[in-house]
Amino acid sequence: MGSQLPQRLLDAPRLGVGISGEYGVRPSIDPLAFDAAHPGLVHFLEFGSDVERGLDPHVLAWVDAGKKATYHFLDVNFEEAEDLDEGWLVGTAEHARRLSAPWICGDSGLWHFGPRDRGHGLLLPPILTEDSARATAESVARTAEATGLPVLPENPPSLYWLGDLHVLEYFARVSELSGCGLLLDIAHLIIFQRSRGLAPTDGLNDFPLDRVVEIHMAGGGDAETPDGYRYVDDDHRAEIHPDSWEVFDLVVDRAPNLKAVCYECEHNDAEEVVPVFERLNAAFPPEVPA
Amino acid sequence: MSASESLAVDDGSLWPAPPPDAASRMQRVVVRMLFDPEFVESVHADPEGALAEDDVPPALVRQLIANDRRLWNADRLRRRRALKVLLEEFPTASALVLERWGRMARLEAFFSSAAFHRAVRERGYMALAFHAWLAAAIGAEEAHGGEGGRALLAVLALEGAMVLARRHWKEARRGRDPGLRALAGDEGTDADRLVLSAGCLGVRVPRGTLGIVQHVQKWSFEVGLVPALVLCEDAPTPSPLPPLGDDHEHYLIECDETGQARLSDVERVWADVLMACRTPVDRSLLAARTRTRGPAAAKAWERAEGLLEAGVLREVRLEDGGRIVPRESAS
Repeated sequence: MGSQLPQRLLDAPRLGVGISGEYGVRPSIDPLAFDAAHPGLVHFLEFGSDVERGLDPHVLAWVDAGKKATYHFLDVNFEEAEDLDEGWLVGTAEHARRLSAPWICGDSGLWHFGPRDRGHGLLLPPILTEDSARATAESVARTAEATGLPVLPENPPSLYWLGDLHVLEYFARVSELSGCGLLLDIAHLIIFQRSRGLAPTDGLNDFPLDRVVEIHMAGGGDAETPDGYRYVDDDHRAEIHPDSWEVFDLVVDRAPNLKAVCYECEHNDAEEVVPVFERLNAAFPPEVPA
Repeated sequence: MSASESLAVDDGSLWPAPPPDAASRMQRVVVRMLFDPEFVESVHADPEGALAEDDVPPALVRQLIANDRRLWNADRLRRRRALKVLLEEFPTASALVLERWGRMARLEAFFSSAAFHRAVRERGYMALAFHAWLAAAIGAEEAHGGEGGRALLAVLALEGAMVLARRHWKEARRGRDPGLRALAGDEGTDADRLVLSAGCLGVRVPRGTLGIVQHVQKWSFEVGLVPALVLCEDAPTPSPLPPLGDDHEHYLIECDETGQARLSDVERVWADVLMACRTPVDRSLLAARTRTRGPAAAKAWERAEGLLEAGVLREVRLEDGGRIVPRESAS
């Protein structure tokens, strides 16, 4: 595999287990209140937003209380070089720096069609080809250079996939070509594996786990459309699928540069997510075990 | 007002997107399938024909149609959500067109239209495509003997100009300022020019257009107090509308620092200057576009200088190859 992770990323703090949050989406677990009620379970807040909406009072209260946060973008298409305009690069860097985020992360796919505009939003997976991986790698590198922050592309969710690469091969290539670290979303990976008829951990032996800096864990479950189409809905319910735990247990033991595990659960009842936070903290404590 | 006048707000002022690579071309096909069930059927029935203009790799197309076609419609509210956003930008026109057509499905047909597909394929703004599609549809009805479309076209022209001004403002912040787009085949003589500031536009609409907007806003407010009113037999309707005059009223649209578009009414002579300055002008070009000569042309230039002082216009310089740069950064 390619070059070592950037020193800045290797030196980045180990954040431990965190919770997700998104601009203006309610109802949502208030991270400060949750932390007060359950001390020691949440060590960072991953805040999802876009340049247009910016930061909300909840995340500002969190960071102004001296707590750690990361910035998750929801508004860039890495396959389209023209999407990385100056306004987005500057705005994203401003948001991330206001949070003192050690890196920027987010699903690498198509967050919108056409120019960035209201009503254009969606999330499509990248086309899993070598050319697309190269385009994405160039965008990741350019974003990192322009913002001065490491960028962790994340494997996105999808009901379909186009292209011949396995999603793990695709992101390994992006990392190899750009030198970036990676965010592995385990629920999204499980959905991919199921769509290809593969076992949960297929492909992980050849995946550069030393480049995984962050993991996302989230619940999901079976869904069906009125016309009978069945699929796995990445709905971030509290309960984690057993397949996700299987992948998590494997990755957490073999990812030497893992810094953060984000449990995407903010829309659930606070009490329902406590057992999962406890299990994640046991597996990945905020301090490196002696 | 004719349909073509109304359509003129989508005037090709935005910078074109660069040619997409194979992955992006494929992504745009997928987007169209997500919004348009008719397109999904076409792609599955005749992929070569349906994608003839898209130049997508055959291997990806084979993978595309190997999917269960029901997945494209798994999100059944996708079109409705997108339409909601569009209607928020055309609040008056949408009320009038829904009263006219009586069915939401006719508006949702936008997502199966050539205008929508072209916008996605060319990386354009959906709101501008929606405006063009709606204006063309109403214009065609009028041409075939329909009635009552004049008020709708007038409102569309006003709301469409505000939509365009907001997109100009956005594009400028992204480094694709429409006022700095290179000129091709320019007729002016001087390098120093004046052009509208990003997010500013002048618009001319039939007299009474704003009155219709205010009338519909009042109706919308009243209905909003008790939404179930629309179920009543005597539910209030936007019609009858205040009449339109035979002459025109003119507005300056300015976007504030948040990108919100504001309207101010202006006299015709000022609007003439505003509309002439959509692309950079020198004195001779301003005179030609405002159809003024002698003292009247001098007066038009004076007005342009006044608008410059007010920040509605800005100074730019025409450089080699038709390149336009802000005056302060001119080489």
